[in-house]
Formats: sequence, structure tokens, C-alpha cells
Amino acid sequence: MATISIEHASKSFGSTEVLRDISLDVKDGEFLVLLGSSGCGKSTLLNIIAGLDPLADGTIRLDGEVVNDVHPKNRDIAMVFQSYALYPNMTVERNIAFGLEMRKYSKAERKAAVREVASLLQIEHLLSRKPSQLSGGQRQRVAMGRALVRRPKIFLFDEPLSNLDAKLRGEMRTEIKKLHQTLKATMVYVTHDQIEAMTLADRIAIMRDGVIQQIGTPQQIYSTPANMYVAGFVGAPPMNFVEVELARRKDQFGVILPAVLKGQPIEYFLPLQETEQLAGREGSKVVLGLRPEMITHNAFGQSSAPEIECDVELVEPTGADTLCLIRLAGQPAKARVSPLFACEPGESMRFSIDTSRICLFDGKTKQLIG
Amino acid sequence: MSNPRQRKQQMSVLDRLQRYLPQLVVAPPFLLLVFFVYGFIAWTGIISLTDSRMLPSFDIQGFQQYARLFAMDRWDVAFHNLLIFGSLYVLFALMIGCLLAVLLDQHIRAEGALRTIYLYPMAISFIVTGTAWKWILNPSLGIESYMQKLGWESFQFDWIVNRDMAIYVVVIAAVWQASGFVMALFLSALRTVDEDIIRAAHLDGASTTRIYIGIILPSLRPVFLSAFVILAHLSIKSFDLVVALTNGGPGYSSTLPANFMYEMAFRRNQIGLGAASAMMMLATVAAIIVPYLYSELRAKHHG
Amino acid sequence: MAEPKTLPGANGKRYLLGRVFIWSLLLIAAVLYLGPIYVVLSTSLKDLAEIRAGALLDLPHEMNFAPWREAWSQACIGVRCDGLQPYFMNSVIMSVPSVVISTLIGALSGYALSLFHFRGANIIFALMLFGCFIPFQIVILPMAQTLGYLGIANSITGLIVVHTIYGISFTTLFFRNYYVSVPQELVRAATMDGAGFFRIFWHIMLPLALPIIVVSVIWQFTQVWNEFLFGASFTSGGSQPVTVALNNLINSTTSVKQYNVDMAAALIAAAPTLVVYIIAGRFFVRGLTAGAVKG
Repeated sequence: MATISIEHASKSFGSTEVLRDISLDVKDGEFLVLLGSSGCGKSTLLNIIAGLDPLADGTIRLDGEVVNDVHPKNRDIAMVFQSYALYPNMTVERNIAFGLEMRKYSKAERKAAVREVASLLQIEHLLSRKPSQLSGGQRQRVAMGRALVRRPKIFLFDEPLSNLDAKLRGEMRTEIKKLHQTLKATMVYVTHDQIEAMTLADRIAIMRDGVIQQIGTPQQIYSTPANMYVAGFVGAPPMNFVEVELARRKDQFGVILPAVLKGQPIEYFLPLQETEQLAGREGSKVVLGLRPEMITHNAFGQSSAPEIECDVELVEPTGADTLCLIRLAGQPAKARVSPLFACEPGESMRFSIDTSRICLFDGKTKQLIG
Repeated sequence: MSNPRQRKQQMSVLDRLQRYLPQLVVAPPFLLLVFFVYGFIAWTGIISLTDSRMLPSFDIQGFQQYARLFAMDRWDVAFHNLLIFGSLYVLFALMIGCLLAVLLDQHIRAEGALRTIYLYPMAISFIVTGTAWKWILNPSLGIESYMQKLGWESFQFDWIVNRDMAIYVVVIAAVWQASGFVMALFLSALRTVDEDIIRAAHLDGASTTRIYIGIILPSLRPVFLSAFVILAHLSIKSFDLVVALTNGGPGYSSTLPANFMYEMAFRRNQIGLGAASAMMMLATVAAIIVPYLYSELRAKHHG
Repeated sequence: MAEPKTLPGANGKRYLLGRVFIWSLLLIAAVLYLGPIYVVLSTSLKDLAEIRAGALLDLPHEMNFAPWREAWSQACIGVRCDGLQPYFMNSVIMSVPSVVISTLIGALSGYALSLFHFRGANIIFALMLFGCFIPFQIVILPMAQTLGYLGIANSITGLIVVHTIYGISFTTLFFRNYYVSVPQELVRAATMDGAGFFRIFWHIMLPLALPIIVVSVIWQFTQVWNEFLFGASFTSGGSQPVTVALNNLINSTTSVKQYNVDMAAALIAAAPTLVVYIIAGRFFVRGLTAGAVKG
């Protein structure tokens, strides 16, 4: 058992509030990712869980027990740091064993534990080296080893992969996921990389300015983002935001979508489901959230989804898909189409719009309204 | 899997102590410093307000020692000398040091050896430097007589025994000692200049000289400032060099405030006056150092 | 810096002229810097007759080591006539403990200071920094009295105490500036591993600080060895350090001026720091520049 429960946590550095009344529960064995851009407070939250930063207000419980005043070393938590923080003067073996050494394990116990972890991470051949003689990926493994060797009940990761190149990052991501499945330990992982968050997490908590914006499974976060910040943060290329007007045409509720066709402005009407929240708001402005894959080619006119035709300004092939830059309500927007159907820049093209998955945000509060 | 040797969960007294250990460790040396620097400054300040002569007394008399000080020709000369010495010393050490650094930065093969040669005077004590230059510059057997014997009959270089020129001899020896240090400061800063800037400037058609004058040297402003502050405060502290080189002479024509203070406090039983002059020295140093420290620490704080 | 040679068009006569110009300036400077030490060395090897002949810049006719022997063990300083040797030993006895103690204290307090993040830590830092810049004239009068109270006036012990105290500002700042450049995560990682303040210091920080230990030792040694004001103010007679004794020897007016002995004595007094400089110049420069580098 290893659960983390944080209630009403607040923390300031000087006059800047880094955490504002955060409450968060991590279940036993869960992989929770704290996602946000730099300065959002995610690392501070991690350090508070570790006990490295004292908590100003609120309580933190591990397995139900309040640990606000428990020293990091007595929390049974291990942490992997962004810079790896390997001790430069010690060999890999001693680096890994240092935590055990400090806890007065015998030499034999230490040796056995290091062997086990080293073979798990495939770094047995590096044990006698110094950190300066290792590559970035190897250092990363040693840092993981140092956390693993103590068999803690909770693992904390502070952007552990951000110093690796893209290829290695992908590999290590897979390894961390495997590790989590094998160990079934509670893990809290901080990152600013939304792909890492999506691929690793059981649940993601998106933070901004010391406030958690949304907690949910990767799919929830992706398909029903709580607000425009979350919607824009997750997904690449990001969600298109188009400011539109709610309207009713021939008894059909929907929005008016201005576009450009053959250089001339044109308006389309997109029918939408009239929910309770939206009823009676005709004429008011809302922000339409369209992921690129919701604007796609209409192959052979099969789809019954609403269609628009508009000019394509730019074409970006990515291999699997091609991104077409179009203009909606004066704003550039990206559509994701199959390379087979992509047109040339400057031509116009027909797109079908998947209205069932559309997000609508309040223009002022930026919150999801439908 | 739980740790077999898990300690009890509550924070022990030792753990609580851990949080304050950095403060506890800094406290003794810091208190020493407070006492031996700031306490002693206050102590000297108090002595400067008394009529202490041979032994310090604590009978506060007011600012009469300062009044005496400012009325003394000897102090006047010392302070005037400090202005001459300080400005020339800082100026020439900066110029020569900076020039040598730029020259050494031109991919000189023997750079290491030359650097060692320029910098070694900094490892020598001022007393030794003074001794050497005193010998070289003495008119009867030194460089003057050597030149005359070589056939340059009219060669004259008797500054060291000339009332009006003795302080400039101190400048020469001091610049000789410190310019290598300035060179080292600038050279290490030049090595951090971004090479791409120079490449870009070359592509823009700038000559090497122009690149240095127009781009690189202006970017070294913080180094100029640091070097200036260090040299300026060294000039105020200068004491041993004058002792060994001219011993303040001829007469007291080449004394500096530091020598004045020592003379009054240890030779003439004018402790109150010595303390007053020490306070003036401190004030001069503080006028340079305090704004510098303030701006440095503030800049860092907001950085 | 861009390599001038690799730039096309930067060849030919102009380039060559530039090189000649640079090299001549550098060599003239080298001669000027080496001049004094050459004169001192050659004078110390000449006999008095040769010196009086006035050939300052000439090489000695023959190597004459008598002045060195005299300077080391026979020259009269004050009332004693056993040369610079006892004072040289005084300086050794004075330097070693002050260097070792102030470096040890600086290593620990610099580490602790580097962990300060609370408000006002900057003020403590600034107060320490200012301690490096004060003119020591401001402390000699109270210090003379304090040494008297402590019963260590006019003693090498007294000088050790003084040098240690005023060295702490420097050593603390050396170490503090070094440790703040060590990634904070290292301390955090070690804390997670269960190491406390002293164990982090001993197992991780101190081994890391080897270069700055060397810098601190060299800096302190140079400072203490070359120091004159404290030595002249707080000691007299047999307990003087070598710089004070050298100055007394040079300025003694009792006997015929023996310039060669004076010069040999100057070189003897300068030898230890010069040797250190030649062996470990790199660290010496770092010590000098450390004060100029931002905290």
C-alpha cells in the first residue's frame, strides 16, 4: 500500500505563490503525471511530496498518515532528478548503494541489492565507472538504479527524460512504463512533455500557475478538456480555436463558421447538439475547439458529417498525415488529412467536420461549456 | 515492499536539528567576523573620537582628531598622493593588462609561457617588489648610472630621490606588479566571448581591430568594473610597497594614508589620530566597495 | 576566437606585419616583466666590487654564492646576526596552521552558507564579502589590544590567530561560490538517500571541492607569507615573519650596504610563493580571479 493524499496545499517563494490550495489523491500503484509548463508549480509539488520543500499550508498524508514533519529519508520515497544528480566522485556502484550505505546496510547486502538492480537495468558492466565516463542514457539508468535499489513504496520522477535526445527518450519512456507494470509501485512523474504524459500516465494532473486545471485519464483530458488551457496544452498540433457565434437556422441549433473560398469570404453553418447549457444563447460568442483530426478530407462524399469547402494556404506533410493550413473566422487553423487526398497550396478543398467531438468554450471564462 | 530498517515515522530531535545545521555551522565564523571586523571598526571609530596617545583611552572628546587630521600637511600630502597614485595605478594597470590580454588572445603559440611571465609579480610580496625596484632605480648604482656609463651622459632618472616624483616610482612598481593580474582577468573573460559573434562580424566585413574595439571590449564591461574595484581598493590599502620602496620619503613626500596611519599609531604615539586616519581609509574603500557590492548582489537577486 | 589564419584574404604582407607587431609588443612586455627579477638575481650573485662598478644589467663575472649564504645565516637583522633563516622558519610556522585552519573552516562554513536560501542570507553574504575588502589599518589598533588581553602579543601564535580570522572571509567565499555552482539536485538526491548535513559534506561536497581546496590553500599561503602589516604591527625581534625581517635588513643603516646580500635575501623571502606559483599557477590565477567573479 502506498497512497498519497494532499489537502489544501499552498506554498509561496517570497511574494510569488507557487501552489494555491492544491488537493490531490494518488491511489496505490497509480502512475500519476503532473503536466505543465515551467514555473507552474509541478516540481514544487513533487518536492513537497518528497519532503525536500516544507509545506506552508495544508496537509500531506502517505498511507493516511500525516507526514508534514517527517524527514525525507523517513518517508520511504525515492526520486529521480532531471540532472540525474549522480555523485561525481563515486563509482556507479557506490552511487547506487549510497542510500543503503546511509541506512547502515551491510556491505554484502548492498552488493547483492546493487547486482539485482544493475541486471534489471542492464548496467552491470558500468558498475566500476565514474558518472563522467557514462553517456546520457547510461547516467539516466544509473539514476533509476539509485531509486530502485531501496525498493521504496513511492517513486518520484522530476523530468527524468528531458536531457535525453528524442530517440533515447522514447526508449526510456517504454522502459519506465514496463518498470511500473513490474513493480506496481506508486509513481508520480513531472514533465512538460504532453506526449510523455499521455503515454505514461494512468491519470494526468495538468497544472498552471499553482492550480490544478484538470485531473483525469489521458483520454478524458484529450477529448473533454476542462478549459482552453488544457485543450491547447495537450495534443500536437494543438487544438484549433475559432471564435464563432451561436445561431439558429431553420430550427436547427448551431454556429456560424466564417471561412475563405477562392479568395472570397464565405459563411458555413455547423449544426450542433443543443444542450441545456447552450440553450437560449443564440447570438453570443463562443470558442469552437476543433482538433486537427476533426477537420478531415471527405473521401468520396461518404460521410454524413457537415462539409465545408475552403482555400488551403499551406500544406505540411508529416508522413502519415498531411496538415493543411486553412483560415477559419480569420484565424489560421490546421486540418489533418490523408496524404492521398491533400491538395496543392492555393487550391481549395472540401473538408468534413466531425461535430460530435467538437468542444465549445465560453469566450470569457475559457471553460468547457459543451 | 517496505524498508526493513525503517525508522520511526516521526521526525526525531536530530532531524529537526538538521534543518538548522547550516545556520549553526555558519554562526561561529560569522560571529567571529562580526566581532573582529565590524566590532573592531566600531572600536577604532571610538578610539578616533578620543584623545588617545600612547595607550588607547575611552574618553570621548568628539571630532577633534579629525580636525587635527585635516589640518596636517602630512595627511594632506598622503591623501593627495593617494589620488595621484590611485588614479594612475588603476588607469595604467587596466590599460596594460587589457592590451596584453588582447594581444595574447591572437593565437600566440607561447601563450602559456608569456602568461606565466606577466603574472609572476603577483605572487611576490610588496616588500620584495619594493626592494627590487628600489635597487634598480637608485641613482648611484642603478639604471641611471648604468645608462650614463653606456655613454648616454645626459640620462637622468632620479625620481626615487626626488620629492616631486617619488610617488610616481611607487606607481611604476605597483603597475608592474598588478597589470599581469588584470591581464589574467581579461584573458579569461575573452575566452568566454561567443565565437559566432566574431564570425558574424567578420562576415559583415569588420577588421579584427574593429571587432575588438566595437564589439568585444564593450561586452567586457563587467570585467572592467570588477578590475577597477579591485585595483582601486588595493591602491587605498597600499602600504608595504611604499615602506620598502621609498619608506615614504624623501621626507614624507611619498607617504600614502596607510603609511600615515601606521606612523601615527605605532611610531609617534598618536593612536587617536591613527584611528581617525584609519576611519578615513575605511570610508574611502567603502565609497567604492559598497555601491559595487550592492549592485552585484541586487542584480543577482533579480537575475 | 576566430583563427585569423583560416580567413581567406587575411594572408600576405598585412597579416605578417600584424604578427610581427603583436610579437614585438609581447616580447618587449616580457623583457620588462622579467627585468627586475633578472637584475635582482644577477646582483645577488655578484661581489660588491663588481656591483660598485655599476654594471647593473650585466651578467655576473662569476657565480658567487657567498651573498646567499650570508643572507640565509649570517646577515645582521637588528641585534641578531644569524641571517634570514630564523625569520623564514617563523613564516613557515605561521603560515601552515593559518592556511590549514582557515581553509577547513572556510570549507565547512562556505558549504553551509551555500545552503542558505532564507531572506537576509544575502546580507550575511555581503557582510562577509565586505570583510575581504577592508583596509586592515582599521583593525590593527583593537587587535593589538586584544592580542595583549589574550597574552599572545608579540608571538607567532598571535599572528596565526590574526591570519586565520581574517582569512576566513576569503576561504568561506571561495567555497561558498564554488558550492553554489554545484547543482542543488545533488544535495537533494543525497538527502533522499538519507544523508544529513555533515555526511553530505564529507561524502559528496568535500571530495568535489578538491580544486577549490587547492585554490584556497595557495591563496591563503600567498597572502599569509607575503603579509607585512600585521607582522610589523604585532611582532618585534625574534618573532617577526620573513617579510618584516627582510625590510629591516634592507633598511638597516648600521653597516656598509651589501646590495648582493639584500638581493639574495629578497629572493629567499620570495622563493616559497614563487615556487608555488610556478608549480600551480593555474590555481593561483583562479584564486586571484575568484574575488572578481560574481557571487
